[in-house]
Amino acid sequence: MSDAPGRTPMIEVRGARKAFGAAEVLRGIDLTVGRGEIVAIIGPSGSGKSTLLRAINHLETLDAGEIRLDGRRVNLPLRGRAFERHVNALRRQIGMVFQQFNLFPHLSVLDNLALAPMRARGLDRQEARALATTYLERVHIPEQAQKYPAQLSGGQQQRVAIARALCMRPKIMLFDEPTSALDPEMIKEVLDVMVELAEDGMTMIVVTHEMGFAREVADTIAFMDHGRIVEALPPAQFFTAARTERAQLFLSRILGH
Amino acid sequence: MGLDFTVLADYRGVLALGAWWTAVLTLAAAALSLGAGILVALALLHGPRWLALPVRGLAGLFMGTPLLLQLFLIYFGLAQLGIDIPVLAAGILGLGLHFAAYNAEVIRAGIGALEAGQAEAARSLGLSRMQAMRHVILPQALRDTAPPLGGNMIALLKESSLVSVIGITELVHAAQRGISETYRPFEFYIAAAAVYYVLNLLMEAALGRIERRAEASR
Amino acid sequence: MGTRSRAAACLGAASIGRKNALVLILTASMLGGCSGSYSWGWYVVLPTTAQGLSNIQFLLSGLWQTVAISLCAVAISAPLGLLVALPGLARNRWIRSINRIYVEIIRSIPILALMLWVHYGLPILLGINFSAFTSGLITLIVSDSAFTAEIFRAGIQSIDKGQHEAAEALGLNYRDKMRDVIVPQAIRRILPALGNQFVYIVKMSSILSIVGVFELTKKANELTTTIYRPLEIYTFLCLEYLVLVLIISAGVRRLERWLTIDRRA
Repeated sequence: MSDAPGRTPMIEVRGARKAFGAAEVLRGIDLTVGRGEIVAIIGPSGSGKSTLLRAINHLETLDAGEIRLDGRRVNLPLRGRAFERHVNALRRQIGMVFQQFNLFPHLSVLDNLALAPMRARGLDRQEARALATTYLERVHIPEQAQKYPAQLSGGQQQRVAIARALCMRPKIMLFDEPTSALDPEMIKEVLDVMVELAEDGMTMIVVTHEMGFAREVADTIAFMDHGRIVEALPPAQFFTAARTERAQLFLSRILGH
Repeated sequence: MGLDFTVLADYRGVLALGAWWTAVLTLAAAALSLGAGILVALALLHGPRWLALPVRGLAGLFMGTPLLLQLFLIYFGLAQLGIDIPVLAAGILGLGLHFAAYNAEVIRAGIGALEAGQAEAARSLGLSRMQAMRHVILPQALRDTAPPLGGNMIALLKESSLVSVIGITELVHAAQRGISETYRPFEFYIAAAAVYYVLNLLMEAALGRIERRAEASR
Repeated sequence: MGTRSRAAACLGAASIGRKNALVLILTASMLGGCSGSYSWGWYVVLPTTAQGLSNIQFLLSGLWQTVAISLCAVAISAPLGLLVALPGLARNRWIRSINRIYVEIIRSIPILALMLWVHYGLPILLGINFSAFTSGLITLIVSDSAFTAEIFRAGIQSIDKGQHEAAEALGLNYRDKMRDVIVPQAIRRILPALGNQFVYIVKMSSILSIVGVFELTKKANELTTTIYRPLEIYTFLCLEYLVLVLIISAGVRRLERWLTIDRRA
């Protein structure tokens, strides 16, 4: 994976393990994501893709292994208040976009965006709203600012969710199947926004089933199966010369129809 | 014996005062029951374990025994312990805590019914646990549970009549005073019922407004 | 008030589980135990002394009236509530308004006011005197029927339209459709709400002490006036109600389980 010499990578995962009861979801994951790199994680459902993403944002706690963000450890053996402070500070540097959008239905679009800058970064209302308006323009829906989430289409909601994460000026963006809950005609508008983000140099990890997007935009495609990263290659190589049988099988199924 | 509602005219001052105190009691106890209800719900959901157990027990006591009895205990029982609280405070405390237990149950269910994604989204934006609760979870839980909470508040209005037994001159007590002087129970109770009905309508109108506003933000 | 029901307000009361029962008893005894500087007089309800035992017997002698009046009230008000609910389901506005007027008026009057009116007001109008027990019973029945009617209405309305259509397609008339198809299904659904309402009635029966029904609360009041120990006596009274409520909750849960098994079979 590409890594500018002399600079620490943005994300480093070493030996990450996680089990839910008897089910081992992550069985020793190693992954390095450099600054500005875009990694697409693909693989069959239940392979641990989402869990890995959630662990990076500390929504899941690892059983073993370590994760570093910009050289700082994400998973520290902290408890209580100290843990809370550490995790909050960390999450402010990581933007996350969920499959189900998870917009706050009781707040207007503008307030959805302004909430975290106000509460977590201490901006006043005016500054926060100005910031929110800027990012709404970036996802091309400034005119929806006063509406409530339920009044928007799925594609618009997901773009609001992306803008909401960007408002915290994160160092890295995590996307957890951002287009899986969308109607086909809305997928493109969300992917377009993500492509623009990539062109601006944002570091991104995207769990997705959109092979077209992965091929066009990603620097690296990581194929996960049964809690392991089986292959991690640049798209051109991955789609033509995947070495493992499982990756080939997955590709033939997905590209077959 | 025919009906003669003109006797009420002489007592309109007393009845109006009774209605006033019923309204004051209801509003104060409603505020207390909501505030305490939220605290109890939070203690049960996120509080330390040593706190959750006695809180749950106390809430169960308040729901499992008659309100009348709780009023007796707070007013007469605490006096026996040497804690003398004014009768009005005892009334507000009794009503407020009784309904706080019910409200807590409703609010807890409301918080539990929210999708996990809401809390995760708030936390992934870097909001603290408290901030997520205050700005994201609670507003939604209260909005979703507005109808049953409103139902509790209307029940509170009616059960505020019970504080007459510890000697607060609210509506029923005022009516009883009129009756003891005129021996006209029928007229006075009808009048009291009518006032309750009006207070009830006012409250439902107010609740309806709140619910419609909550509904609009869906 | 629409679909908002008192049942929602009672939410939770009948759902006190067995584990919670233990917590309740523990809390109650903990409250009893934390004394501060106050010297408790638990001897008034201590079964090991002759005085205590006779006090307990006196307090428990109200149990029969509380249980009898609550059971009678529920036994009569449940069918009455169903009867009141039915016009509320009619298509005709005028028939429906019979249900609305009854329910709205009864529900907006406090039970205490209703009871005082029945006991002291109604005899003047009718020229008959009621015993305290009769007045109390009438009050509980009238009040409970309005709440029960709302529970029934909500329950019946929650039954899928397809059930009505299927029953009608089989040629059942209104009475048979309701009796054999709709109401039995509705009862299963509303059983928890009915259970809560029963708990509510048992607790509300305490206000009958005010017109002089010799139930649990009245007995406690009487004892308090002879021995000035309200804290201990009312705490004991709390426990009496708590036990009654726990028994009802357990009964309702049993019934629910039994009905669910029946449904699976």
